[in-house]
Amino acid sequence: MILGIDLGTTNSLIGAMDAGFPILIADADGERLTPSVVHFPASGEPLVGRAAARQRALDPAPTVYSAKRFLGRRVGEDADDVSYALAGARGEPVRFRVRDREVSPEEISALVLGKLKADAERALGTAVTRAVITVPAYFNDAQRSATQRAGALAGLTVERIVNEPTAAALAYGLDKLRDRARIAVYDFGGGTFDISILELNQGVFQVLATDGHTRLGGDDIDRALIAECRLPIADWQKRDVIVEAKHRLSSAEAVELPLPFAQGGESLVYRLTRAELERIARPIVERTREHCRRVLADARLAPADLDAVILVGGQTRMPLVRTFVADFFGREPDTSQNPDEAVALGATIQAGILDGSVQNVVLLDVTPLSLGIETFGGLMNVIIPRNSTIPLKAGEMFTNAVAGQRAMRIQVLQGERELARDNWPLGQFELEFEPAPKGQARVGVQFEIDASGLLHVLARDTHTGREQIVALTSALDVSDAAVEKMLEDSLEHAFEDVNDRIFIEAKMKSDELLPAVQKALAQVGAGLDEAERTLIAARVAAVEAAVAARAAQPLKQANAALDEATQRLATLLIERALAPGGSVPSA
Amino acid sequence: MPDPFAILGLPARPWLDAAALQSAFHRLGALHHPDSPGGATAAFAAVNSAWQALRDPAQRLRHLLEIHGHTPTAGAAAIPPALADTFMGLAALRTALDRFLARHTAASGALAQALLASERTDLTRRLREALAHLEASRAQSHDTLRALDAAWDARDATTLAHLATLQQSLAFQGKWSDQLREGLFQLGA
Repeated sequence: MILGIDLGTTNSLIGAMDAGFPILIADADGERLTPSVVHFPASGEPLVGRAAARQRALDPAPTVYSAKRFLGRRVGEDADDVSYALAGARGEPVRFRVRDREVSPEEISALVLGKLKADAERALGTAVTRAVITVPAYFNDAQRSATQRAGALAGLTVERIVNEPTAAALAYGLDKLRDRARIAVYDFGGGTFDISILELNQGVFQVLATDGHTRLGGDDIDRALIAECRLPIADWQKRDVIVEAKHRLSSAEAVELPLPFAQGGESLVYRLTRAELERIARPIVERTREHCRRVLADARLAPADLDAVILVGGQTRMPLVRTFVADFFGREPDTSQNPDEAVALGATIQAGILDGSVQNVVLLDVTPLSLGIETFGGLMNVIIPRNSTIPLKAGEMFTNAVAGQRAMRIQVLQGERELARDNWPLGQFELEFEPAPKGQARVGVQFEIDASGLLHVLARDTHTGREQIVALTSALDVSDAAVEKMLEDSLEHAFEDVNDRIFIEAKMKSDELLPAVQKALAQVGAGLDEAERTLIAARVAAVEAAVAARAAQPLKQANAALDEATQRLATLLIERALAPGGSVPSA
Repeated sequence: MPDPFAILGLPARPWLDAAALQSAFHRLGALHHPDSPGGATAAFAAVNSAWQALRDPAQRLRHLLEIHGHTPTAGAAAIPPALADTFMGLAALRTALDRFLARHTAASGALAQALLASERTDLTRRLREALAHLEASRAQSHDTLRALDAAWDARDATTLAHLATLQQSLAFQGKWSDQLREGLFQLGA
């Protein structure tokens, strides 16, 4: 028997097939959701789940949450504000510092998986050793491998890594196997965003395209709310009440929540209206638009070609998100699936497919990122394009560039950018050549992406027929010398004059803004009234004065003021461009 | 590579119904998928590769020609004379687009971007026109493809030569269509 697990950023779930139905397993308290939180008390075993989440507001430093955001990532890949300490030098795999130890994201995730495993064993009365675990569709190779490692640490054989939106599609489509349909799955969770387009046909669930962002989710909305919250308490103390407010505002228009803190004898209260929440959340939700456009373009479909749009992930409960989805796709989203449970149910169904308890259903997923190698000139040469159906094999032939060459270093990358260095380095390997005249040695390399989306490389010398499984040196193992250099580089910048930097950045902005204002005035200035023109002139003068005085903060403010004063100019330009027959090729 | 038509159980001819191809892929893909009883990664990968080979008409024709011993001649990447004008027009459009996108990326403020609005509208219109033109050419190529399919059973060396020319046209039309679509995507159309 294989179980299905949704290892979520915020919550995790586990399920098993029972007489043809996927059933989610409840813990000893009867809850199916287990918060993905781990708390390390001063002594004793770590707490996992709700007990750990309760500790977060009281003792944040040794309480780790949202560890999924750091699986397979290196320090410096992006910043993050969490209320626990991160450890590791730039370029090293991210670790957490808890009490006097360092732990990896895999170990934290393993503790969560371990609790799920124990709950399942208690409920089923049998040992649980095999599982399917879900990941965001947009996870790269390192992130998938780290998830597998977490499973292994928890004593589980991870039979398959499944993409979350695909799993949700399985849950949706299991009772509609006779139908033919094209659906979109909009998965907006705590930490990640995925959008997938699938074709469902007689039990075949085929992903046509997928896109997303592994750092876009409800946590970003929480962060923005925390930043705007003026209550005189620490950020980590604001988190719980903000999350509660956010949830309540999905049905209420305004909330008023008392906090367990007082100031000057009075209890603190957090007030938030739905309008304020939407103002803050809107730019974050808007970031999903580009991915929705991209996935439709890749699938060569228009919104009207779809039969349904499924919402997945707790964040999709927000009315703003539902409106956005309805607006973009031109139809009301399908809310038949429980947004918190659909992924786990789908993982359970895939587990059933693997252990034979589910018949006549098959998932054809795709790899979300293009795979390629670095070539001369630092370019990315794509070998497997994104959205290729998996599992697949693709071959490349390599030859020696100089006579007698014995080895060639190949750098493997994932991503869509033209330059190799802008893509994510999956790893590298050394190809060995038998000595031969230039261009005569031929080694074939086979890149295989398996059903979990993981890369395997096989090299075969076409003359000797010798095959070797190529082990990629992961980009996560950085040599000591390289770490030293990275540390040096970051120290150099530590003593930079902060003020200088602000002035330079602000001046770059005014260097662009001032000529733009003049150009705009020349083109549409006649559409403004006297007062507006005078105001703009005054604000331009303020910018010029600040530049002359090399005053960093005043320049920054003057730029912002000029930006604000020229908003109407921008509107006039766009109106003119959109007017029929109104566009002119630019000078 | 092994005969993709044979792998998918489809007749090896110039024309292929897209729905028939999709059905064949679903049926055989489900059968050979590693998750299905008796399935295996290697077998599925072969079905997968065959499907990829037949999806795009230009690629499909190339495989068909190879099966009939008609390998592409050296310099086959040259643009067919009939498409030369299209190519020149597209090259100019491409340059204009790249220049615009570079300036758009560099423009950091709302005002700077708004200044580019009128050029964006113009470029979008030109790209749409070029795409419509190209799609019309592609439709014509597809008509030719159907005609050659009808004449397939009685084929001779001339038929194969026509197919080879058509294959090149389709390859370029497909590639340029993709580039125009990507350009329109980047313009936010």
